[in-house]
Amino acid sequence: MGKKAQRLRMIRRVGVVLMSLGFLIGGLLIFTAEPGTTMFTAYTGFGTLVFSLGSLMTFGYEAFASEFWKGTWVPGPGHEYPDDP
Amino acid sequence: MSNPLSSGSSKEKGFLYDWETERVPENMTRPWWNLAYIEMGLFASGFGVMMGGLFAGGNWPWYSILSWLIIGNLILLVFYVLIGSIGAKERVPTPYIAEKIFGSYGAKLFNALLLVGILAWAALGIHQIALAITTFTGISPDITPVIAVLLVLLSSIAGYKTIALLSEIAIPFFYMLILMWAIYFGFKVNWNAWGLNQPWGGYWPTFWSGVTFVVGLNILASFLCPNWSRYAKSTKDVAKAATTALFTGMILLSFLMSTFAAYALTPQDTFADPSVILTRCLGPLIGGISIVLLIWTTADNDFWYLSLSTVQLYPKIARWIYNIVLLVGSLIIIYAGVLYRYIDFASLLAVIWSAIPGMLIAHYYVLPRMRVHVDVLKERNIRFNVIPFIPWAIAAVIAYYMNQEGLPFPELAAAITALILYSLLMLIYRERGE
Repeated sequence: MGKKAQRLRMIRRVGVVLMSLGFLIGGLLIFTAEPGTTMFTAYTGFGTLVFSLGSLMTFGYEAFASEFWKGTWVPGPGHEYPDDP
Repeated sequence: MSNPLSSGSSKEKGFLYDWETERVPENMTRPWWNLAYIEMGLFASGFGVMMGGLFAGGNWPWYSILSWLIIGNLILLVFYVLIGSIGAKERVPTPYIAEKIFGSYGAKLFNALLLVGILAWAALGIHQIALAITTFTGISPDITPVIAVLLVLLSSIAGYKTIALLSEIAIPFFYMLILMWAIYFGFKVNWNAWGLNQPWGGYWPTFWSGVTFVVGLNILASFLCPNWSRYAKSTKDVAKAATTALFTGMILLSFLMSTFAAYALTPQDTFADPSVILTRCLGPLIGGISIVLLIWTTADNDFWYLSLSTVQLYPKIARWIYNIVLLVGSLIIIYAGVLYRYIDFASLLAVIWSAIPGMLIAHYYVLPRMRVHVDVLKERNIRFNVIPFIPWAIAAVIAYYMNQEGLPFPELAAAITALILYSLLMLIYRERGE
């Protein structure tokens, strides 16, 4: 596996961690707050931010590869990562 | 211009190119879950936003709604998988697949009608995003349509690539965080005040109309499946994506939004405004972001599909330019104040679409078994095939009549009528046996 592919794999792993963290904050901690309270807003807001960044890195990791923006590569079955030149 | 049905070229096409005039090459195919995300995004607005409030306040028991959704979606799934598989096989969008049925000039008429019909709903999406932005930011409604257009442009400009990027953020958000929030509010709802908790007894009187409603609302989307399924590696991937998207998209999102609606609205509220529901539950910021994301993921699909149809009308202009023109067109419709009159017209026109899935299935699955080749029009150099317009017109009349009479499954009846009539009429192109 080339350097680019390894870098993208690392981005996906960090993404999974951020999604889990976002889920913990936004999805589980809200059960400890009442609707409309400051804590509720903070949990949903911060959870959304962290979770969405995580899902971009996990599922939309193509956005971190220059080949994607050049239109020469998209992730798919059998071509998950761009080849190094 | 490249041959629209030629095999994929590996040369660099640039980021904005969406393989709109060529077959999608093998190295541009996407995984099945990614295809499912695209389709879930298309359903998010219709089922997630609109139906949630309707179901909560409709005085129908939850098990009635669940059975309509399951049975309706099983019927739809047949269409989605069969037509989606055509996209995976041909690797070209619906506007070019239409050439196989109507001929290259006949397909222009089909695509022009599609453009007129769907632009109203696409503009409605822009209008709804604008209203949601106004609700949660307080920005004047004179300005928010422009912001909405810029958002949709951002995610539809490169076709599948940018739509996928938005879906890759929004769909996990809907299915994990918003789901957890729905569970949270589910514990706080007084369910006895809502129709969803109705006792047994009123099931059959609403059954047929409920299933008819689910089928009718989504049969149109079935013939548009090749627009995304052309990026599928195989029929199996299309089946996995369509099944996941239909059942989770419609069932889960409907119940999820019903829960929010049941929490946010009182039974005395006359209109289930999705912006009001989500902002009452989640506050102006997160509620506003959620509603914008829900409508945005649908609206960008609409403009993507429209721009693909426009390319078939005049392929010398790139799809992304049409995309911009269509978005500006929708702004003009909104600012001119004619959007709702246009939607009334598009609603009337909706009766004509149910014939198309029937003819597509006939062309690819029935006719080859009757020795009529899929590429018969191209082989015989027929550029305007009159034949499909006959079953199309008859099926539209049947759908209209059944709708007027309140009979069940008008769209399904129209699709099956078109399938049978088109198969029979196309036999004039049957190859002679050896």
